[in-house]
Amino acid sequence: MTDSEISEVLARVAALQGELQQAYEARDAAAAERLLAELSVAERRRNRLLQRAMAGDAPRYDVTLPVRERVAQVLNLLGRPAGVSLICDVASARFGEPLAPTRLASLRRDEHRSWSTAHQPGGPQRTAARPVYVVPALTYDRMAPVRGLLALSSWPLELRIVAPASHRVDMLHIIDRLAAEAAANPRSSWVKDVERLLWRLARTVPDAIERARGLNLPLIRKAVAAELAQLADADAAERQAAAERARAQLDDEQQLFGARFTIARKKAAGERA
Amino acid sequence: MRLLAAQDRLAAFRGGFPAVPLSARRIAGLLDAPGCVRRQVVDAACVPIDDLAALVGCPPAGQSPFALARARQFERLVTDNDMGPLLRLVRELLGLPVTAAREKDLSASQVSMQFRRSDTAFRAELTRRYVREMLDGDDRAVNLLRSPILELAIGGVPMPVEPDAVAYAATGPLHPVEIRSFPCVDGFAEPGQVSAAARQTAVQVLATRELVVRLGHDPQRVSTHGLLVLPENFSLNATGEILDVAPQARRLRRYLDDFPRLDALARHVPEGVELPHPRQPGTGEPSREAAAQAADALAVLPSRFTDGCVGCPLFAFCRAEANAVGSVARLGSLAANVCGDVSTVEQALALAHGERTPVTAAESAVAAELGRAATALALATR
Repeated sequence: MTDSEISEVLARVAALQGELQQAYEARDAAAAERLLAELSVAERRRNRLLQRAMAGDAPRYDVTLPVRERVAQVLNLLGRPAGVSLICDVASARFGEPLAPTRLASLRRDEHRSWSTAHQPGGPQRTAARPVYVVPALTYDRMAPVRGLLALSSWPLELRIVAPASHRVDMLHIIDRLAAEAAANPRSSWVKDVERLLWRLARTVPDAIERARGLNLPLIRKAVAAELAQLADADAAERQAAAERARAQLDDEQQLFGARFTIARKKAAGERA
Repeated sequence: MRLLAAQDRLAAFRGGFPAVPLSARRIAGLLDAPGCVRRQVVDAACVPIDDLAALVGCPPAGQSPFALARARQFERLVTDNDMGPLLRLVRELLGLPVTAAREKDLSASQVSMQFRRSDTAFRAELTRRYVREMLDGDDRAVNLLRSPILELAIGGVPMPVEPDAVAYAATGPLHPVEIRSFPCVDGFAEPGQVSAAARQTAVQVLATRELVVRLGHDPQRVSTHGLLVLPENFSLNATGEILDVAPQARRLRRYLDDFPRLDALARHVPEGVELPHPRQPGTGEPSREAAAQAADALAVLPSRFTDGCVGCPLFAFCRAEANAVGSVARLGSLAANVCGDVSTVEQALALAHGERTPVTAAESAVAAELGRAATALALATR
C-alpha cells in the first residue's frame, strides 16, 4: 500500500463521478448503471486503503485473548477452584470482558486433548506442552472430575481436590481475594463492578455486610476470616489426606483430569468372561 | 390378581407411551382428585399425563416458557457455586451451625460426570448412602444434599421423587428444602402457591420418612418444618420461610394409605384396552385415530368429577364428558352431594318438579329436598 495507490484510486473515483454526471445529462440509463457498479467497487477500494493508511501502527484486528487464557487469568486472580458462572461473573466485573458460559462447555475436553497430544509417549511434541492447563476440580473420594468446577494445573493437588466443605471454604477464599483486589486498586475503573459482585457474594457470610453502612471491604475480610477459622482446618486435613491417596494411586494424567472409574460390576464381568 | 400380573396389565394399558417417574407435583395433585379411578390408573401406570391430555385435546396446562426460564435462573442463583444463598437461609432459619457447610450435589448431570451413569436407581442408591451417614451421625456426613432421589410407595410400588435439597445438622432432624420462583413481596407470598408448595414439600417429607424407616431409624427424625426458598420482592435475591407441613403430610399419608393397591386398580382396566402410540412414526404428529383410541381407553375408566379437578391436566376431557351426559357433577361438588345417587341433571329436574316418582329411599330424599328448593325458588321469583 503506497501513497500513489491512494491518489490513483481517488482520481479514479473522481473520473467515474464525472462520467456518471455526463451519462445522467445524456439520459443514458445503461451507461449510468454500468458506471454506478464500477464506482461502488472503486469507492470500496478507496475506503479500505484510506482506513489502513489512517490507522497507522494500531493493530488491524481486535485483540481478545482466547477463552482459555481468559479463564486462566480469572482463576489466577481467584486462586481457588471456581464454578463456571462465577468465572464468567468475575471476567466481566474485573476484566470488563463478558465471557459466555456456553463457550466454556468444550474447554475442559479441549484442554485434555491438548495435554494428551503434548504428552504422547515417544512423540516429539514435548515442546508443544503449555505451561498451564485449565483442568476440572476433582472429588475427594473418587478423584472424579466435578462438573462445572475449574482449576489450574499449576496448583497443588490439595487445592484441586474438593471435599464436601471445600465449596464453601474456596468461596470464602475467593471473596477474600476479590475484596483484597478491590481494596488495593480503589481508583481503578472496574472497582465498582467488583464491589457489586462482592456485595452479592458477601451477603452469604455472617456479619460481613451492614446494610445501613454500605460495602466495607475490611469488614468483609474480617467476617470471611472468622468463618474460615471455623471451617478451614478440617477441610484442609480432608483434602490433604485425599491428595496423598491420589499421588499414590493415580498417574499424571489422572491427577490432572481425574480418574473415571466405572462402577465395578464383578458379577457381570465374570459372566462375560 | 397377582401384583406382577397387575403391573403387566397397567404396562399394557400404557401402550405406546413411555413410563415416566411421577413428580412431587403430580403426587401432590392426587390430593385434589380423591377417589378418581381414572387419575389413579393413569398415575399408577406412570403415563406422561401432560402428553396424554394434549392427545385427547385438552389445552396445554404447563407453565409459560418465560416462567420456567425464570424458575431455572433463580434455582441456579441459589444453588450455584457453593450454594451460598441457600447456606445463609439454612443457617438463619433452620439454625444450622456455621461449621455445617458440607455439600453434595446429586443432580443427574453432576452424577453422570462423576460416575458415568445417572439413572434414577443409581442416584437413589447414592442418596441412601448419604442419608445413612446423616442418620448415623457420621462426622463426614453432608449437611446439604442437593437433588437427591427418594422413593415414595404408591399403591405398593415405589415411585422416585426428587426434592430440591435436604438439609441436615448433626444431631438435629432432616429438613426438606423447596426452591420456588414465585415472589415473596414484603414478607407475603401468594397463598395458593404457598399451599401448593406445602403439599409438594409434604410429598418429600413422606418420601424421606420412608427412606429413614428403611434404614432402621425413627421416622420422626425427618422434620415437617420445611424451608421454602423464594425470590425476595421483585429481585432474584433469595429469602426463605419455614413452612410447617405437618397437616399436609398427615393428609397425604392418609390418602396414600387408602390408595388402592395395584391389583385392585388393574381390575378396572379391561383386557385389550390400551393407549395408542403418542406420535405417528412417520410424521411425528399425533393422528386422529390415536386421539380417538386414547379417548376410548380413558372413557372405560370410571372418573370422579369434583371441584378439585381444575388442577388436573385431564380436566377439559372429563368436563366435556360430564357435559355430554348431563352429570350433576358439572354443578359443583356441593350440588352433586345434595343429589346423592341421582346422577344426571335431567333426572334431578324431573324429581324436583314431580314428573318422576322416586323409586328408592335415596331418590325420595333427593326428591323431597329438590321439591322444597323448587317451591322456595317459585316463591322467591313470583
